Amino acid sequence: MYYMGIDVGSVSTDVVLLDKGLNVVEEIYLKTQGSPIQSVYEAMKIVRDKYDSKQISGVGTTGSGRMIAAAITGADVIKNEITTHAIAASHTDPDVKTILEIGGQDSKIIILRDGIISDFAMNTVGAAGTGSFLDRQAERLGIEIDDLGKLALKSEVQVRIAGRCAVFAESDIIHKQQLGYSKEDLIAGLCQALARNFLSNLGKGKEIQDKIYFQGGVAANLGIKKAFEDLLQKEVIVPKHFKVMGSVGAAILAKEAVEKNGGMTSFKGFDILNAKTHARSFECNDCPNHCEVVMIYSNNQRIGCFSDRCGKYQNQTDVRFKV
Amino acid sequence: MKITFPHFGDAYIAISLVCKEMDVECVVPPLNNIATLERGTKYSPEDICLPFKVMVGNLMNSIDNGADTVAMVSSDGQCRLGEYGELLKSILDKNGYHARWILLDAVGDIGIKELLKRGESIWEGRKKSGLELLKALKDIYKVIKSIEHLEEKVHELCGYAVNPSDFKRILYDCKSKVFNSKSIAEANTVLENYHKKINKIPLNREKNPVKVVLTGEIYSLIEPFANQYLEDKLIDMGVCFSKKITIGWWLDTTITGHFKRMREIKRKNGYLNYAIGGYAKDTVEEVIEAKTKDYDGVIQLLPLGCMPEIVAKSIISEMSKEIGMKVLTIVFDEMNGEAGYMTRIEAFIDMLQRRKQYVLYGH
Repeated sequence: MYYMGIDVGSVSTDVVLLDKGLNVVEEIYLKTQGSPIQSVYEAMKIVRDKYDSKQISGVGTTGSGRMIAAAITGADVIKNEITTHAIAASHTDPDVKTILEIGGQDSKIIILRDGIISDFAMNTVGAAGTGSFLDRQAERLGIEIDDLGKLALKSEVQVRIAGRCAVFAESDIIHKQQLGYSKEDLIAGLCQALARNFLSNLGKGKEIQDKIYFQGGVAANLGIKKAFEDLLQKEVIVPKHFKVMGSVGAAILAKEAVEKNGGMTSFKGFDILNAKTHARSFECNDCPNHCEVVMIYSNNQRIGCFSDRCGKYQNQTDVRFKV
Repeated sequence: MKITFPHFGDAYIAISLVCKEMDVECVVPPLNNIATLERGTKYSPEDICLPFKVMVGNLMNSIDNGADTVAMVSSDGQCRLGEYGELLKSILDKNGYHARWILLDAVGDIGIKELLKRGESIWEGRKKSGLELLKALKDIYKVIKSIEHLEEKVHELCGYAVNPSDFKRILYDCKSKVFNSKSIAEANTVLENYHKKINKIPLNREKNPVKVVLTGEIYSLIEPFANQYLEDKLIDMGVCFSKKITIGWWLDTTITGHFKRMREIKRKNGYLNYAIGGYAKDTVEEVIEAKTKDYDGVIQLLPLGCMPEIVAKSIISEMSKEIGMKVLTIVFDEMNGEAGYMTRIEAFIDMLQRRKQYVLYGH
């Protein structure tokens, strides 16, 4: 009896298995590398090697690729990443009141009261303050992304870097690097800028109360955690499964959904891994909307379809947005 | 003479029906899509608001299709709409798209006589009398109101539907039949039929759907392309909603209900007491009203760079905490990807739903 949660993000694809008591027993973290179908397959294969289809009692998907993942696996629940992150955090610790989440392509702040979302914000424009931006800067400075946080903690001097926009930040870093600042100081400055930008953009007007959870891939970076703590003057906690909180939330919701449905799951089983799955997109010219319709095929059979406004193609398949 | 006009929600249905009735040729621009926007963006100032870019695309498409006269409303409001007419003309002229322009400015700017003269010149190629024109305009007003009444019913009931998409489909069917009617009278018969049809859609009154108010900038609210077809999505998600700002409402406030509107504008609400342009004051008031009418939340829509709504947004963010109303602000721009908007909207609706369950059932 396991519940599977799949979070297909822009940068990583995470799969978790929860047991009946909702404890994490399996945690898989792969790079999406631009092909969500492939990465879902890879992750599923790892799960298949240890478990068989009957052991999976429910599946939930989340992340920006949640529709594709749901089409492939036959998910019981499809949920946005804001809700799943909140569910996972309040399940881990019911006293969490604030969640700071920084992922690959976006960042968000979620305010919880009594375990329920009472407010949230997601970064609107610009890539500054996301994981992709950090990746790029680490690469430019010739540092492994995993070492970024440790190096930042070694800094002694505060370097102020503009964090408003990725382009400004980058030119600021280059400028200061040429003035002779050490890499450690530059990185610490970068972490500060990112945290400052996050709090002034997303945290504006929000009551940030204890306990504060910091999750998402970027939470591995100790430099940013420290920057948040310095700016907020509060303790920031990185939960144990910070990297995969989205999929934990999806798995919890899958359990809820399956129980509501009388214990029946719509999971298609691991046999799907033997089928060839691919996506095809085309512009529908039947009306002036010109929707860019995406279809997912498995062994040449249509298993999913999105982005048609009239629902003409979706009606022929079974995956749809559900609240 | 072939007249054309930029798209504004369902306005094209009404205008083309009057044209049929008056025997005036009109060119309806192809419905808005991403190609329209791309074309408009190419010729527009970079920082102008989204509606302007779409309109440039609309008018270029229409002139390509043979239109020679452009009719559109203009205003003296303290927002960029005031510059739209002149700027559009200048841009189109410069790029070789020539047309005769009929700008329906506000009465305060050009006087009632001039406005009527300009209004009549739209129909000067008609083969009917002035009296018949007046009757057609009166009748089309009723058609507009009837379509909106139907929409209102859909928005009110879709959350209770056994299959919410039924409502979406019936609305699309109805609009396309009204558009293809040969006369206003026929359109009225079609509408009567659909009013009956809509009552037969199976409902489940035991559902407890989330109810939200849609408010914000007028173009984003009325033109579905400008809000990424948000209403369709809400219907599909089974969310009930209400929307005050419609074409009918606009006609009422600017033409028939002018004096009532003046009183509304003078009324103070304690948060934003003065009309600062656009419909910012209305937006603020609608959030207050949503609270008194027991809605679960408010979604505010605006295009990037809309001055009045930005002011409203900052007022709302504090005010909503004071009065205890949840508000989601969505800013629309050229970005066509739906995932970002959908995540926010879904999360917002989820939040309202979970709160509702929590409060009502004490989980």
